[in-house]
Amino acid sequence: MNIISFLVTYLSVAAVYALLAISMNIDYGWAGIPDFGKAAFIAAGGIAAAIVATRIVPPLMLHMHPANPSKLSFFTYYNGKILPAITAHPIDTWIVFIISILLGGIIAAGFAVIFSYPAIRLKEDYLAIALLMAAQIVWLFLRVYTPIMGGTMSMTLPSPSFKPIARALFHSTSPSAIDAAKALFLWGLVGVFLYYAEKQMNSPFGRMLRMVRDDEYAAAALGKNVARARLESLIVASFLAGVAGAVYVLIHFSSVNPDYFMPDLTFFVLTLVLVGGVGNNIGSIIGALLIALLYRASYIFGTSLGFSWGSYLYYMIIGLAILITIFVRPNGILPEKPVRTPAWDVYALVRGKQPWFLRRILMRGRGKVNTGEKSE
Amino acid sequence: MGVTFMVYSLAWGSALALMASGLSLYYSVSKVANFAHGSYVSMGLLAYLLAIAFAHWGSKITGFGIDHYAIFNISNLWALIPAFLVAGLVSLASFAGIFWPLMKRGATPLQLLVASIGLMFVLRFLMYIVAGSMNWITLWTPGSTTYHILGVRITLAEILSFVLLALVAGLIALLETKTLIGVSLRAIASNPSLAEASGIDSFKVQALAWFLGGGFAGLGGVLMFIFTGPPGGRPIVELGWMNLLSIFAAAVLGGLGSFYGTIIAALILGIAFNQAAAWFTIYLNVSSSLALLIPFGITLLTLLFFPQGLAGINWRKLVNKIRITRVEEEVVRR
Amino acid sequence: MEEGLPIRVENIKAGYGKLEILHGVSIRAELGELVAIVGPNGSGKSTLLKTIFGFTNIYEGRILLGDMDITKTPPHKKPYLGMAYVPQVANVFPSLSVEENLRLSYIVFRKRGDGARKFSQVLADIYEMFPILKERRKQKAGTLSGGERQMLAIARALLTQPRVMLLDEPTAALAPKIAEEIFRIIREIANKGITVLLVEQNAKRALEISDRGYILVQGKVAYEGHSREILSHPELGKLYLGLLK
Repeated sequence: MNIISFLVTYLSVAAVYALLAISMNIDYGWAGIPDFGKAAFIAAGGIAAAIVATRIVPPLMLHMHPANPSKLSFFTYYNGKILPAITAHPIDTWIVFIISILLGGIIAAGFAVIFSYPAIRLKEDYLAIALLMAAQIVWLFLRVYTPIMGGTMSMTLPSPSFKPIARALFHSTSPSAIDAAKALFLWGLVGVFLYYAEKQMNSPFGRMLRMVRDDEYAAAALGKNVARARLESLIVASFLAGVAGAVYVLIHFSSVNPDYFMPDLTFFVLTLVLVGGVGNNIGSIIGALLIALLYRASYIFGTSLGFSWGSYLYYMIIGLAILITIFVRPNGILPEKPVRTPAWDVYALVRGKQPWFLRRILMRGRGKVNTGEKSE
Repeated sequence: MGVTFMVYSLAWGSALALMASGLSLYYSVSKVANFAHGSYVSMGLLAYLLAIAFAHWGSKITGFGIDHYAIFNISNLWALIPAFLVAGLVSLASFAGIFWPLMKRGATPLQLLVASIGLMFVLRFLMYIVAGSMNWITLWTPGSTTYHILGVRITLAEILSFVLLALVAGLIALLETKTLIGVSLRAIASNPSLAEASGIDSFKVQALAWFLGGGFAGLGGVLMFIFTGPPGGRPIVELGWMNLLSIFAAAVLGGLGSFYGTIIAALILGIAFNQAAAWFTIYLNVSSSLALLIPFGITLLTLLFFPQGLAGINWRKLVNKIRITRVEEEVVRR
Repeated sequence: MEEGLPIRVENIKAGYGKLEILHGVSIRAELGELVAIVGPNGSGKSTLLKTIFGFTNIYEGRILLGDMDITKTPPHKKPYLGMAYVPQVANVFPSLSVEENLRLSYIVFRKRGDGARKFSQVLADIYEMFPILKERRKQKAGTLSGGERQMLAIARALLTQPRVMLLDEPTAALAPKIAEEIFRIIREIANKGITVLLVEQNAKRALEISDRGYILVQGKVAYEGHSREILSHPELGKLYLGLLK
């Protein structure tokens, strides 16, 4: 395996993890909700992608009959007719992708509303376990109830085509050029997530979430609606999780199988956030980069050992990463930063606590503020 | 669905009760929602198999060969002792090495929980090394000796799960009321800071709870494996993980930390799950794995109305309320 | 019963986390003395007791029990040195019966006292001192009334055969008649030769039964002296204690 192709695949995997981690950071990191049902919200993206590819796009775009995954003839019809018809046009695959993202987000947000009922009432430990059980139920249901996405049979999905992008960018359609285009797109998406999350975090809404997390009673005494704050954070986080789930399914696997959404997935995502830094978005991304590297390296190394247990080496690596983080840096590699309010910005600017390249960007759109550093 | 099946359901529930009550026991004092508890379950099973393998060293004990020797009969009962000890000691070590130091640093419940996930991964890998080098990654259930008592078919494993559960319940009852360390255990559960001010050695008491809790999990693991074999055809190491949610369901339904509440909840869930599984396969023709919906559903619904589980329900008040409404209805009717 | 031990707190600075509450407090209690610590709300009275028992962070100064430096001794070892601490709230184990609550003191007694037979003697004495507890001994401690709970807490502490007792507002939120009974018991304890540090809201009564008193204001000792002297001082009562002459 040459280094460039390893790097490119690694970067796109890490980007998908980063998307998942950012969504986890919102409800676990800021709102303090132990969202152990994350796998179910990510599954929403997978469900959406399957629905779009089988039910929505065929009649709408291709003027074909929708496929029904519960019928025996499904695979011949879907794999033989619909899938080639969609993948024949790169634009169609992107339409599938965009509708899946939106639908996935909406379905996940809908789940969030249902799940929020216990989330507002239960204590931490009880809530974690209740959400985990809910995720397990969703997973079992997807496995057994075939009309949704064909049960445990892997259903190939039309992943968005990066060929045109690769051709435009690198004048090449070699596999690594396509992978590079994919990685670029994914990191662009990470950037969008990051921008949105940072903006939310530094808004009054984000500050309220932290307040609710740190002291529920004080927040309530100051007239904040604690239940509503939790619900909103769960909805925002789940919407992002649904979007990330669609990316996870369509780009990462380009197929869908309920076993992608086993409840273990939640713990994996949690590790990313925890190692990177709870309550810090950049930290979550760093966690994703680090753990993806450890994961892939230990998997490759483990399987090359030639022992029957070698392929499980990554359990050890991830487990140790969690334990070491908890002991050495309980708040992750990058701990949570103070909220950036306009007042804090000005203070930091005056005191010179902001790196120079950020100052101009930060001050944009904040109106004229006399910082006393006009000569700069 | 005759008596035999009912006995099986209850025995399954008892095995679950053994595992879940262990969790409950140390949760009551340490307040750690320990996801590594499933690993203790698998550890118990591995210790049982290893003990039997050592006893028959030289025979064909690797791979499926072990199934022939590991059958659950009277002459193999001794192997439950290493199962108890190994699981208990691993649990004790994880408390002393990870959770106690973290608690001393003032870790939040969530941090403890996440640490337990890390521990779970590490233990799981260690078990894969053992199971992998013995070529035991997948095994079938070795089965158990069967008896016919009064026309009812009952296996030794079923009898033993009832006996062990009764023993454990009795032991804990004696411990918690008659011995000073048992009373201290309840004291820590009731008011940890006062317990410290009263000179109770919190570490020693909690260590005992963790040892016993892990040991019970190990015993339950052996029995559960005899009953169901590897869950869903997955590696035997995953036994604990596959049952972890049921364990937590029982512990949460019983009211986290309530020992007897957990046992009752586990028995209820055992009956609910097995009856639902039979019903699902026979009448609905869907996979029995979906039957987990029923115990989880029961737990979630109970939590929604009684956020503290069964132990949090004020039974006397509830009964009074029902009685009063009935009286009121009668008054209205007149 | 053993004699009491003198306890000395020397220029202690302590608090929670980084928040300093006590800014250099020095107090002492001699053998068998009943010392009252009074002062307005938030002056650090309770923190002082917690600090002596080891529940806070100590930044400076030291605490001496007899000749032993106990500044760094963790709380769970202090009962074995002859110290007993009765917190203001949550001072009994609510889900244990009254008898079990009392029996737990055997853990400390066994290391300091003479064994099971002596313990049942002492327990009988305690039941004589608090007849209400004998009546309720099978009842869960959580079902006791406020006064009974306070008595149980004091009884638990007495059963460990302490030489120094730290009492944190034992009469808070009690009916005047019951509070009076508690004060009587505290005086009795001190008469037996146990050193008692009493933190109280009810400054007047506390000073009336105590030998010496300290007035703590904003984490510092504002005045120390004999209780009678403080009570008869023309200004102190009005200034710090809300006592109107």
